Amino acid sequence: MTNTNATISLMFRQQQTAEDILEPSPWSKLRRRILGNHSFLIGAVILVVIVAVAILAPLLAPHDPYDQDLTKRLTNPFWHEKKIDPDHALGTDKVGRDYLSRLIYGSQISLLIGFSTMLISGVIGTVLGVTAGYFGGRVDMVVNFIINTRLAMPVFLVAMAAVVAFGASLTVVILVLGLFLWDRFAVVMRSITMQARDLDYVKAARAMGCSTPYIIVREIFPNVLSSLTVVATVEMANAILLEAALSFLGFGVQAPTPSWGLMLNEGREYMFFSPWLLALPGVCLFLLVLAINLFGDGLRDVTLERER
Amino acid sequence: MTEAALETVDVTCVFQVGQGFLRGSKPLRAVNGVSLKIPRGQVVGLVGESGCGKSTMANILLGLQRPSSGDVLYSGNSAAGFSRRQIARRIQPIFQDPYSSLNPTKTIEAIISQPLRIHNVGAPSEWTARVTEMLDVVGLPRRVAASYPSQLSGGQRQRVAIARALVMRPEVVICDEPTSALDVSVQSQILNLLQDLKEEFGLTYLLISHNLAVVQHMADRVAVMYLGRIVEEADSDALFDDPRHPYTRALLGSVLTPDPRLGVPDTHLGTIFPNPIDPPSGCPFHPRCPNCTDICQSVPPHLVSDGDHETECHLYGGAS
Amino acid sequence: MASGVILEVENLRVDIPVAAGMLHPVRGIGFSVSRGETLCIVGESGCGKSLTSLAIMGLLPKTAQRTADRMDFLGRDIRHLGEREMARQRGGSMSMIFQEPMTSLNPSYTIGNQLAEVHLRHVGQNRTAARDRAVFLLEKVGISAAASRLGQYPHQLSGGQRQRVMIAMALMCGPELIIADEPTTALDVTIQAQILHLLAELQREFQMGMILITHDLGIVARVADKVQVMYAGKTVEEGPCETVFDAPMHPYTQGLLRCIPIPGLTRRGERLGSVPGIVPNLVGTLSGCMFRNRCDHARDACANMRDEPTHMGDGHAYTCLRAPEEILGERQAAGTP
Repeated sequence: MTNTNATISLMFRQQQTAEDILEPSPWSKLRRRILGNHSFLIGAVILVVIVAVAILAPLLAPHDPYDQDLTKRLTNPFWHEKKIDPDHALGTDKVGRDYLSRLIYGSQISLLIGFSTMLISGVIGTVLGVTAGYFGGRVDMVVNFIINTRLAMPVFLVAMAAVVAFGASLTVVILVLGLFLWDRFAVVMRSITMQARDLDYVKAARAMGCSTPYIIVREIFPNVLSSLTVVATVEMANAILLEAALSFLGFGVQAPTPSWGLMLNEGREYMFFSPWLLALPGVCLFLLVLAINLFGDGLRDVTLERER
Repeated sequence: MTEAALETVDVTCVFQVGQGFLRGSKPLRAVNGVSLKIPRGQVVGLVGESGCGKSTMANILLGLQRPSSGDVLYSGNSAAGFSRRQIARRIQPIFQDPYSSLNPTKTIEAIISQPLRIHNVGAPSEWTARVTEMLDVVGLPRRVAASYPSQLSGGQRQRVAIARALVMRPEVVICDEPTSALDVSVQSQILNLLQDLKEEFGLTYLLISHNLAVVQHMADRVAVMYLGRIVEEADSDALFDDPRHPYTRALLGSVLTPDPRLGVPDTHLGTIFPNPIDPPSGCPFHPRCPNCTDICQSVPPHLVSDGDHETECHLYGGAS
Repeated sequence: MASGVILEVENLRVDIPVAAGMLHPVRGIGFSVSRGETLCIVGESGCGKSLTSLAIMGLLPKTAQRTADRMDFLGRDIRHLGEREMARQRGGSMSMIFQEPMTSLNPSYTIGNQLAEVHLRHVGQNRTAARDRAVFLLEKVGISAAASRLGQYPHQLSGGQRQRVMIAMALMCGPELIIADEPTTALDVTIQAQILHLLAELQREFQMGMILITHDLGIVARVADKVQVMYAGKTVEEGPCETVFDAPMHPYTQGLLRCIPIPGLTRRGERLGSVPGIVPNLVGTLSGCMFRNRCDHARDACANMRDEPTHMGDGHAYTCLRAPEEILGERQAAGTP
């Protein structure tokens, strides 16, 4: 008797909700939005090209970027009429190294620094921010204090001091920047986690008996991921510019490593007679940072709309 | 009398509320000495205005909030003997807002099967079958399993939330305003569904709602909460036919039935809403009470029982 | 004007271009409100009731296009008024009360400041006059010790008190018409009754017209003089409150009334009625009765029906092909008139 009743009500129920799924899947919506977002597409294309150049540098570069040829110092790039060398399309620098090859290898340095700094600072900032945001109270107070302490320290001066103390090398630059650029990660992750923590699906997971680490990793993290990637792009661009600035001042990557910032420094003396020595690495830096920012901006527009 | 599936014994929950920089904090008694029995197989309604402690009660019953004092009994056994996960298998919640109660990054199948995964119930190969079964039970088409919450309507999402709550076959479901975020026509579907499921799975509900029409429709027994205390508790018929506490009367008087011949009722309640951090002396309801007397301002009333009908008000004696 | 009509709207439409085409959230709404009269627009989310109110106030989003055959407010055509003219009307002779009192008040100004500001902008008298009026109205809306409340900030008030302040603010310039969009949805039941009671009292006292937008049939029954049931951007049934509730003609109105538990009428645990299905998509070209996919009485002819309301006298009208046969038939069979 009860059984038939249940079956009848079951049939009734299914009839009741013969509703269709209203919306297209979020992934297909995301795809459509990406294709409609020009800044995201332009940024992504430039970024992919630069990353490809960095990876394929040994194949693309016509010369070894460290090879000096003092007989061919400061040759002009191809658009000049005199003093050009068919072997060096973009000319050579003051010690006769092929400028094109150095620019190509320079992308490796910038991307390496940008990426590893972002990873280190991203991990530190996310752990601090998510912990503070999820637990709140005392934990939050402590993390806030650490963030404020960090914000009170001038990155640039500390970086220069660290280089003086530990010697200048790629590793030192990466570590110093990585250990200093996590503040934005922490601040953003903290506030987003705080919002996510109070949502009912987190409460539902707790009521289900999920452990706290599970909730943080499986419930909250996927929902803060899009904001995390946006901050990551901003920090990556920031790190690349800081490295260039440090190298330009001589506190960053040391010669003869082909870093765009260092190349700017080396080209400084020839600013009036060979302006391309400054302009070319400058344009490269500009393009890379612009691409990352366009990409990040587009990513924000594309993903934040998804959450609405 | 039927055995209580869930019971609270003199539960109090105090929060420390910060008063601003360097001003220290003050205690807020969100729940203040509440004893509530939820008999197996019945629907108990818990009504009251926002800030009366209903949601804190729900959190305490779900084991999400430890009471400052008092005990929660699951089938007569103290909460101390249960782990979080054991409580989770007995009691599951359904929330008000189906838009925030489902994780937007997960598919419906992942959401409904999550309790099974957490509690290691059955083999992973059986989970899909269980999800399909639950979708049938709550009246959703099977193809929603692969979709995401954002693709569903509010009513469909609430059905998913119900499926998730029931997939582990809990004994008690705490329905916290299960329909108030939904459209009228969807509301009735969800209420019907909750009724059906109660029969089908032999569930016990605690229905927290401010919609008294819904509570009267669903509940066997009703408790009225005001500022952390239960001020009146009785069987549904008794409470709705013969409300005793002035607050209950005001609440019932405020229900707007769709009767075009009646105007908007005058509840005769004061317009001051007391600050729960600094509750009024005596009976906490006295500043708003139309029947307030001198004693109400100084002496807190005691619970007076008349059979199953319990009232905490000086109008019915109780001052010692 | 002679009959005391404040607002008259005919064939109001709102169109919003979206990615998938043209969205038609409001598709030809018409109504009139007289002095001292309450019109309730009732419907579920997405039926266009809120957009209707925003369209009257001239507060639609920039991309939305509004057309109407007629929109006369106090005998004046307001269809082509510029932004500045409309701004003068809003808060002056027509004012609006929103659902969420927390977000409608500016948290960084005292309520005295915010009340006076409205008065100064529209009436332009001195500060003392504005302050006196603020105190007078705060007392009217039931806020105790009104003069001392002027210096308080919105966060110092409870939700019910904030909504009272919102009402006082709406009344500051003696409006002829008040549009209240779900004014009590965010409030507790006892506060809801108090606020509605207050609104009804004030309306009687000041002889204002009021448009109340809500999804709650209980509220409609208690406060409305006239009811307008909206579905998918159209009026499906309208008429005097008692007639619509006593003898609803449109299947949608009937369905809605069957959905709500009514103390004393629905038995405990009894199955409630329901309106199966969901609101249709209002993008693109729409024809016929939009309720047909959820309607028990629907026939093929419903897909092609014209939107001509059937009038039943005393202002009661509905738009449905099947109602005469099905619903009147049922009613006669049941022996009720």
